[in-house]
Parts: sequence; C-alpha cells; structure tokens
Amino acid sequence: MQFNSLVFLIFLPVVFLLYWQVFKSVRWRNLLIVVASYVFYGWWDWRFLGLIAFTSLFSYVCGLLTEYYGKRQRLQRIVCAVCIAVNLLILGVFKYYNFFADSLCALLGLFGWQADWATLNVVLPVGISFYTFQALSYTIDVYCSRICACHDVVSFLAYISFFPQLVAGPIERASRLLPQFHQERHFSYADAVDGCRQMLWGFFKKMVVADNCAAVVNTVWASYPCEPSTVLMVGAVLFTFQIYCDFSGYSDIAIGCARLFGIRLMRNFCFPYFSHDIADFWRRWHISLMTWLRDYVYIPLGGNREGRFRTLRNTFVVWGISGLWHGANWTFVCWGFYHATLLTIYRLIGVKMKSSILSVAFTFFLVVIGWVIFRAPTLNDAFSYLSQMLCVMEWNQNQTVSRLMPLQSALTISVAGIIFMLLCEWHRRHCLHALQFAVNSFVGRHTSVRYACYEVLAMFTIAFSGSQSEFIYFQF
Amino acid sequence: MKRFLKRFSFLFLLFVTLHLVLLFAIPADQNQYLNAYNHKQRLLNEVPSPRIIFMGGSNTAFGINSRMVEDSLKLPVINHGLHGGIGLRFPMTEALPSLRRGDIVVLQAEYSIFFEETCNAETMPKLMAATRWQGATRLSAAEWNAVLTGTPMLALSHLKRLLLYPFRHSFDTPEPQDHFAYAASGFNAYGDEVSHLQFPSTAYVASSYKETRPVRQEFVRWLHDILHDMEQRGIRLVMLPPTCVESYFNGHYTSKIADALQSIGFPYLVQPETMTVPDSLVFNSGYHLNAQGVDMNTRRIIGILLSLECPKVTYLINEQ
Repeated sequence: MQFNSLVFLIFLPVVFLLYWQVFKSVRWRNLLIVVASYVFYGWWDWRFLGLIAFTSLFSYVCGLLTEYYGKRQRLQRIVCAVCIAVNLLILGVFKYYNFFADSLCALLGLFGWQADWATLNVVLPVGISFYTFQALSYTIDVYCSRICACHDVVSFLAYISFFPQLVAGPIERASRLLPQFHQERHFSYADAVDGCRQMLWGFFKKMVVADNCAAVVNTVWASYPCEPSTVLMVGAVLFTFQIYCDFSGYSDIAIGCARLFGIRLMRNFCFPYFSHDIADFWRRWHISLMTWLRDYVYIPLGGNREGRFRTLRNTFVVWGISGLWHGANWTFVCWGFYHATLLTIYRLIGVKMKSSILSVAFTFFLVVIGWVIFRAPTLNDAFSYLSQMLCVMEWNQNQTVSRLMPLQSALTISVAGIIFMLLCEWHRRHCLHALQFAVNSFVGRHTSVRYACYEVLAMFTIAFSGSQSEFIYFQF
Repeated sequence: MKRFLKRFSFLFLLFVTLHLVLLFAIPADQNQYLNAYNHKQRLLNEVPSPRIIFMGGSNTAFGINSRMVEDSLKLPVINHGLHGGIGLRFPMTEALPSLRRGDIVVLQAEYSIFFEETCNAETMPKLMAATRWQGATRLSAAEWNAVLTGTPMLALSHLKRLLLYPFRHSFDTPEPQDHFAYAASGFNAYGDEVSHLQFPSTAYVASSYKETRPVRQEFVRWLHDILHDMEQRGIRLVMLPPTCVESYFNGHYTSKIADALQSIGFPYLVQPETMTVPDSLVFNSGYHLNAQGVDMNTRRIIGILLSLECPKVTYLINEQ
C-alpha cells in the first residue's frame, strides 16, 4: 500500500479510529498496529509477510536467549553472531544475490566461461533493508546491554513492522521506539494536528515536486546521449530535488502518521541542501541510516581515533556499506566511495567551510554530481552523462529550448514547486518541518488563515501531482 | 479527540464544498477537447448501419481521413477515437449499446494500454465534465480513482477560466487559429481531428525506452469479453495495430501484445511493423501524424480493408 493512494486514505482513518476509540489498552493497541502493519505490507505482496514475521520472531527469540545466557559470554556471542548472520543472509539472498551472481557471470565471461546457471532473478521484498537494520540494531543493543531484551512479542512485532516507517524508514533504534510501545498512550491534540501538517507537507513534496521532477528526469535519462549539456544539467539538478522530496516527503508522512498514533519517530532529514560542506550534508541527510552506520560500524571499527590510515579505511568501509545498502549495483558503491573521497579530501585539507551562499552552492554542486552516479543504470552511463554534462563547449540554447518544450508543464510545476519548497524550508529551517507554525506568528494566531493555507496546499498538491507514484526508496 | 475529529471533518467538508462550487458554479467549457466525445456518441446513435467505426485512442483521432475511407469503401464512417487518457474500457462499454448488427469495428488500441492503466487523472474528470457526469455510475474502480485524483486540477482549471474571462470574454477553450490547441472544434463531422493538419509539425525526439513490462492479464481478459460480446451481436471486428512512427514502435511494441491477442482469439490482421510511418511524418507525438502521415495511413487502412485477408469486409462491400 502506498501513502499516496486512495486505499491508504481509507486505511489510515479506519485504523486511527479503531486505535483511539475501540482499543483502549496498550496490548490491544499494539496488536492492532501489528495487524494493520501486516495488512499494509501484505497489500503490496502477501508472500513476503512470512519473511518479515520470520525476521521479527527470530530476532525476538535471539534477544531472549542473549539475555538468558547473561553470564555465559561465549554463548551470548554465538547467539548474537547467529542472529546477525541469519539477518544478513536473508538480506544478502533477497537483495544482493542477483547482483553478485551477475557480477560473477560477467567476470567468468571475460575468461570465456559461461555461468548462466547462477542467475535466479530473486524478487526484492520492499523495505527489507530498513526492517533488517532495525532488527540488527535490537540484537546488537541487547548483546551490548544497552537495552533489556523485549519479553512482549506483540510489542516487538509492532517495533519491527510499525507501518508508517516499515518500508522506507526512518530506521528506528530499539532503545527509542520499543519503550514507546510499552507505555500507555494518550491522544494529544497538538501532536495529532502537527502530525497532519507534517503529512501534508510530505505529500506536497512527494506528489508535486518529486513526481513532476520525475517526469522530466526520466525523459532526460531516456535519451541522454543525444541531449545537450544544459538539458543534462537540468536533469541532474531536478533529480537532486526529486530524490530529496521523494525520500524526505516519505519521512515526513511517516513521522506525521506515527504522531497520529502517539508514537514519535526520529528525524530523518534536516534541510540537507542548505549544508555548507559535505560532512554537514551527511549530518542532515538520511540521519537514521547515517547514525546507524556510525554507531554500529564506524565506531566499532575504531572511528577516527586510531590514526589517519584507520580513519581513512573506516570512512571507505562505512561509505561502501552505505552505497551497497542503497542497492545492488556498482553505481551505488561508486556513489558511496565518491562521498568518502570528498569527506577525506575535506578532512585532509582541514578546511572548515563557513556557512555562506557560495559554500552552500558549491556543496550542492558536489552533491548533484554524486546523484548523477546514483541515478545512472550503469557506471558507464554515469561517466558518459557526467562528461557530456560538464562539456561547456556544447551548450546550445536553441536545442535546449526545443528539447525541454514537450516537458514544459512538468518543468514549470517542478521549478515553481522547488522554489516554493525552498522558501518555506529556509523560513522554517530551525523547526522540525516547514509547516510547523510558531504560535505567535501571523499564521499561528489566525485560525482562518491557517485553514486557508491547508486547503490551498491540499488542493494544489492533488491538482499538480505528477504521474509517478512509487517512492524511490521502496526499492532499497 | 472530539475536537480533533470535529475540526478535521470541518476542513474536509470545506475542501469538498470548495471543489463543488468551482466545478458547478462556473459555466462549463463547451470547447474542451473531450467534448468531442458527445459528438462521437451522437454519430453512433444517428449514422445508419452498416458502417465502419474506428475505435482507439488519439492515434485514431489524429491519424485517419474518414471521408477518404467512406469514398473508397462506400460505407458510412465514424471516427470514435479520442484520447488514450480515457482508456478503452469506458468508451467501448458506452459505445456497445449503440453498435448494431453488420457494423464493422476497426480497433486500434495503443500499445501502452496492454501494460498499464492508461485512464488518467488529467483526462477522466474532463470527460466526466464533458458528459455532465452522466457516465459516473458506470465507471470502474480505476476510473473512479483517476476522476477523484484529477478533480482538484479540473476545479483549478475552472478557476483559471473564471480569472481569464475578463480578458477573453468567453469561458471556452479558444479556437485553434494561430497555433494548435486541443479543442472540440478541431474535429470534423466524422470525428477526425483535422485542425492539426494546418499547423507545422514538431520534430520527434526518439528515446531509448524499451518496453519490458508484462502484459496486463485483466485487461486482456476484459478485451476478450467485450470483443466476444461484439461478435455475438453480429458486429464485425478488425483488429489492427495502432499507427505510430518507427522509433516509437521500436521502443514500445513487443511481441507479447500480439501473443496476448492471439491467445484470446483476436489476432492482429497485419504485422504490427507494417503500420508504422517514418519519424518525419509525426505531428507532435509518436501516435499523432501530420497531413502526409494521415494520407499514407488512410490509404494503407483502405488497402487492408479491401484486401482478401479481411473477407468479412469484402463480403459486406460486395453485398452492398
């Protein structure tokens, strides 16, 4: 089930009313969340419900065993290792089998050997990377005694499968989310209203900006070898906004939706395109994944405290994993290494960028280059696109206009949407989201103005929505 | 909780009321492109049988010279094709009661319809507005989805027409005069879109798109049922591939379509590649032909209908 579908618009109010009006105890509410989450996930493909149930129950049992073997460290370590290995194996089979099998076939093909038997075309279950990382965080935290093992299976199932963040995050930590499922929840008017506002803003970003950008970007990428460099530049910049609005839009909807149920999810984006350097960008982009990798990979490897070489190695390991996490393709790995290289260069030079329009623009340019690598189907395409895009000699205004003319409508809506979004986000950059009105502001003081804003934004969101409906991060 | 539900319901009702006011309080656009649908439906009711009826999307509307077909085959012709964005289900189901024994239906369904639901949020609400929402009770779930999603856009377009009224002194889409505009007045009496023939073409930009999606089985089943129903009513069917330019054909046609049609017993009458035209004969999209393309396509279709490979038509013509 997609957030931006009519089914979800019926599903959400039904679950919301049942949650607050019919089910009053914590246990029953958690059970409702589990059932609703499984319906939500099964709507896409019911066959993979078994997989998520297995991952949840296996991690739950391993958590209990880890606690049970509290004083026998060796057994504890074995249980934890088995749990991590099984989770990674499931992820590996479903997400990376095709990739490694194809790479192996290609490699053997270089030596003239046929290995077609290795390819299986395994279907990728939606959101597998997200819930697997969430399960891993629980196992590691229990092993490290950061949290106690969860004894309530319903709460644990709700933690892994909580539908707002099930398929595309934020990747929550057990230490933050699990206790919320144990607590009594009371309806908060302020929370629910702000959650609705955040959802509205998320829908705007996804349906107006991301989906209209997608129409232009897909067309440009479909015929990039014969496009002039200005058109490629437009395609690259629009993809930069598309992926941001798509993913942060999803996160806004997820966080807002969770607040309707009295659950607070962690922030996933903090206006990343206002960053003044690459390190700042990564503190603001996909925060839940970045902090996950920092806490469970980078710091255990030694972080930046064991000399320059180790720091360099750790940086590349983390970014390699981050790239591979995004998808089973060398372009993602290359994208990860590209950012690792940029971070290393910044660190080696030791330049501390001050926040200015120039530094923001330069960071944005570096990020755009990265997204071209990320968007490309193959590394070859990425380099061809970049070399063509950066070839200033080929700029041709007339050709650009004639190429973009058929995309006029989507392009106009995209640009207008981007400008509006940037202005709103810049204005509210110290808040959690752009529609968080200050109580003493003009809009905050006047209910009628606020209502008019909601109505107009809702109407424009539906009226100018683009045709692509699936979220990009579903495939990760 | 009650306060939240009350306010939320109030906002929702306000949203719906705002739309209803914009949709129904502003005079309808009498010249919007999809208003041509009413004329086509009228033709179906009024033109005597036997007749040749071209059905499909805009490739049919833009690609046929019905008068030439009528003169060659000595049978009345109706061009019922209008827009790919309304899909095939709604126009064909609505047309079915008006079809009579002995009619010849030439169906040219666009390739994309075999892979995705083509009725979209931009077009379906406009079609509903054109038909004064009369077909609303007969819409499928997917069509309702498109109508509901697209209604705010339609409401905003009504608002735009209202704002432009002081300058244009009309609520209607302007006549296509110095540039091509999708308008109901662009159609001739047969239902052919002819206004585009007088305007210059835009160059076709070929993309590297390659169709890889599986064929929608529910669409194929539905197509089988309606075509079977037509045959039962004594309507003669001629399945033709849609006419499009070569580059478009190369990216969007796969043999899965022909296989699917073969499997339901309604195969294409000719090889799909024979229905392509050079890229230079495009008007403004892979399916819209310029004057030269229309002429070439019409001659080809006449040839097909006259050929021995279509005995039913030949029989009928001889019978006349």
